[in-house]
Amino acid sequence: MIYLDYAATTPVDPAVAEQMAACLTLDGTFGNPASTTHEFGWQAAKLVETARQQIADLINADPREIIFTSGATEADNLAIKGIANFYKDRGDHIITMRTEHHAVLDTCAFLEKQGFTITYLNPQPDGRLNLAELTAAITDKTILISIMHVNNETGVTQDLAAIGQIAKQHNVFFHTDAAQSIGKLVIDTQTLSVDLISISAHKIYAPKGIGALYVRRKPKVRLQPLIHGGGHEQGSRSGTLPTHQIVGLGSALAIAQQNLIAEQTKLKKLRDYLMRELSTIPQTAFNGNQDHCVPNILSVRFAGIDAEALMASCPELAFSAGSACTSASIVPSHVLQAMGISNEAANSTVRLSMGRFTTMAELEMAVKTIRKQVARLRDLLP
Amino acid sequence: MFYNEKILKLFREPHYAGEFSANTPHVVTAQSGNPGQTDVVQLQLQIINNKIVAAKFKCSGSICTVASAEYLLGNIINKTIIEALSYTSQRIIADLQLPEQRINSALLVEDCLQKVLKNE
Repeated sequence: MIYLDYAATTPVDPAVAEQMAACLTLDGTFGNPASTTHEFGWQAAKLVETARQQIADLINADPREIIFTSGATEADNLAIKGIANFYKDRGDHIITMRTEHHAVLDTCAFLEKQGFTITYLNPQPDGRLNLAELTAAITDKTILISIMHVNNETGVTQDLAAIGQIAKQHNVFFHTDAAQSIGKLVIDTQTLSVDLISISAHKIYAPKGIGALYVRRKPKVRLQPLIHGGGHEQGSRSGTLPTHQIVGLGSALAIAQQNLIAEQTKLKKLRDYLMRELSTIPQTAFNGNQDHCVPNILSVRFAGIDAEALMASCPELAFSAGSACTSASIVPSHVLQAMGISNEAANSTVRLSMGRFTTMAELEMAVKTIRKQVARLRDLLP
Repeated sequence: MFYNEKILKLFREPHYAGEFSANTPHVVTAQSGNPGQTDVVQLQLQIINNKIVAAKFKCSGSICTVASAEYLLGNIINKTIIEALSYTSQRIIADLQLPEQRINSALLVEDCLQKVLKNE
């Protein structure tokens, strides 16, 4: 079985798993990091702070700017609701994009029901934000701009530097969901005017169930917490810190930082190969801006092919489709729809995403299989 | 979406996929569905003396439409027209345990069967 769904989740790096395992049992660092009265707690707290430092190092931040959450979804919720509720006296308008992850879109929809006004910007056909449209959408009531760094379906990147500048000029907070970019693209909080960054662990060879939110200290960004009970994480997120999960996130990001350039070079080579080979299949097109994208995600469509049928035809490959099945019908991806891609084309779209353990031999096999099955399915067409 | 092994086997290894050559005698053809909006299925039956002696299908390749067409044809070969008409979409849905969201596949195939037999 060849795994080409790294954008959905990644396996935990064995070196990370080893460090996590050392935080679970009696002979390990199992203590509660909040236990300040004995060695077990002190050791756990030390590991938590090491991990916090590792995350801060990766984005050139102060460790006090890192708040642990259960994942990027909670980080998105904390950032958006936290700003909205804390600064509601200043304004009630939030700007985001239609191509955001549901963690952002559903949170904004929730706030809309609470009386906030949300502007959903459409992307350009290549998936990128039109910066002039962003500027034009800002009003004196705008308190937050939330735009993701890398789109999870297409891999298209947004210009965080430019968006940050616009936000700063208009005195608006800027949040970015970096679930798909953390540890893969350079993010420097000293040069970017970004106030809040959602971080996921399980997309970067760390476990599921842990994430973090970067919250800028200078100038200070305040949040109304979502979870109360104990005042952990400077009161921003209560709940006993899961040492093993946090150690997993910290060590995975340290590994990612160390190998960032080499890994991206390797992935770009793999993606280039995949694009080159797949483009020789007739009536194949790639979604999104191919010059502004991460090297591990490829969104491709084969005209006339049902993506789900293609996946079922390739049981030896694991990848995902551009559409999701709900209880009533097949719903084309909201991302592809927002980019102006027809429902038919969206239903023909598959996402292939590669990672640390993907090999060229695996891609050669994948291309061979996809080529054969696309031809088979096209032979079935009336 | 999860599909059972029966559906997947019919989808992956269809015996009746294809088309009769243009000069094959006693072949009736019909098509159902709207290109670009729904799946499209084409059924061809070779009917001699009121009996279906051979069959072929083509379709835009959603898993359940391929499986439904394949399953239907496998069951109506060597049957009379009256017997073939007893293979309704309800039977396909029940036999294949089609997911609720995919019952349109069986309805489409049934519609096409009705059309092709009407053309006979």
